[in-house]
Amino acid sequence: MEHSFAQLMDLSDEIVMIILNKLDNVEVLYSLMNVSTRLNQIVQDSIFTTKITLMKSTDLTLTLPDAVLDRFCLKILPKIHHKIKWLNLESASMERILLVADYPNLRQLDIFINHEEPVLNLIDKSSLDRIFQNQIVTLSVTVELHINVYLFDDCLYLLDGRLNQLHTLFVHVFHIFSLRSTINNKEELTNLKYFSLRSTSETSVYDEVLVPHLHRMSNLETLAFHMPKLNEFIFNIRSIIPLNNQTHLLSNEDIHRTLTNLTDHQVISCVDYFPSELFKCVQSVTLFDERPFEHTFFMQIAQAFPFLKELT
Amino acid sequence: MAGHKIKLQSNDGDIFDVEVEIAKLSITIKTMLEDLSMNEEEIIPLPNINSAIFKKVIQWTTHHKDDPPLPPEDDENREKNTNDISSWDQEFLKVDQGTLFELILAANYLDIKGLLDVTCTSVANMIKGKTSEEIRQTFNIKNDFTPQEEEQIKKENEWCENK
Repeated sequence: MEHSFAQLMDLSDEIVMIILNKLDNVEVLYSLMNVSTRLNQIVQDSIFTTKITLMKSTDLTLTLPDAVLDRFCLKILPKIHHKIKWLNLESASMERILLVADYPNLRQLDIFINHEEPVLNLIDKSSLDRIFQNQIVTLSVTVELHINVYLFDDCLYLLDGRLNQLHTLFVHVFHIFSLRSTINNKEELTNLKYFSLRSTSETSVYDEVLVPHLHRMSNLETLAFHMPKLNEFIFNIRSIIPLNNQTHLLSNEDIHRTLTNLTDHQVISCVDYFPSELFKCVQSVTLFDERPFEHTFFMQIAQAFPFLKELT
Repeated sequence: MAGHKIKLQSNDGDIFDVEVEIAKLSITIKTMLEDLSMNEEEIIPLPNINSAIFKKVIQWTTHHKDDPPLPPEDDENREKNTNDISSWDQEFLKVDQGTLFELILAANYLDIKGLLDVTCTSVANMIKGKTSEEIRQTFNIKNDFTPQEEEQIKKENEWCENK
């Protein structure tokens, strides 16, 4: 066969994109950024710059080679940082990557914590302070933070107050054991609205390790658990519904009907308003002082609970 | 019908008798035959493909005529596995770079998804892991940045190094 003279640059942008779609975004950017003006335009398409995974895809806990990281930090991230919406990082290189540029459009940050490193070196407080003071504090209002950790201890270092603006946190943990070191995180995570905890292994320290931290998330709106071997889950959910002259007020039965999937589990619910029906069996009522204790309020109580004996 | 042949003419004048079922692996030829009602006696011209490349295309389609159709690609969840080239295809693709790109152009023009897929995967493997300078050398790409752009790249590097 005679030799042909077609070259890569004779292909249309559409075909070049088909070729590049065979590669990971990091491979595309590493090899083709700053090769030529045309390739620069192609590889800076959002398809290659929206989601960047700066770690080995075959083994999520391993850092990329220095040559690749250097090229990204020096030449690539400064050009595409404003286009990145989703970063997947591993713990050993995350500081360098997060500090090399601003990421104004970042919406999701996944951190894979390398469990082979000693935890205290890995989550060195001063380095985290640098990262979070410079980046995450300003990002965290809008960023979803996804953390992949080996032990639950590792994510507690991140929940020591420096992320108090964070509203969405996903934690994927391999093991939840008794804490290995003393971590005195007690500050409320009042801005956290969405918390997801996923663990593939069994835990016997739910009360001791998890509950105290769940209590800190007092303003959660969504709580997602993925713990297939959890045997017992006791929860108390309080919802506040603006009534706004609503004529149909949810009853206890309405609430029970929304929980029909929990057929084998006991569900207790109560509503905190006075529907027109009478509570003839109620003899004792406890009130929180968030309502004004006015005369009309006591009249409502008297009508709703005609056999009331105790009001505290 | 199996066994029936059609005549296809490359852009350098050679005429190829190709089984209809094999030719129809090309969506372009299938459309010509079905939608444009071309009969099997007519010679179908292929103005974008020379005879050497078309021989390779026929070789590939003949080998792959009984392959199941490829699933539609999903960009969001696309598989990034560039290692799944069969040993027959690896042998088939031991060609010079020009021929490989001609095959890509032919597969694209003829709309043969499987051939386009495997040839593009082969080029992706040639790109993987190379530095920008190695890419320029491998694919004979000219560095066409202006001196100002080169200077800008240097400045960005200095900014990063000093940060």
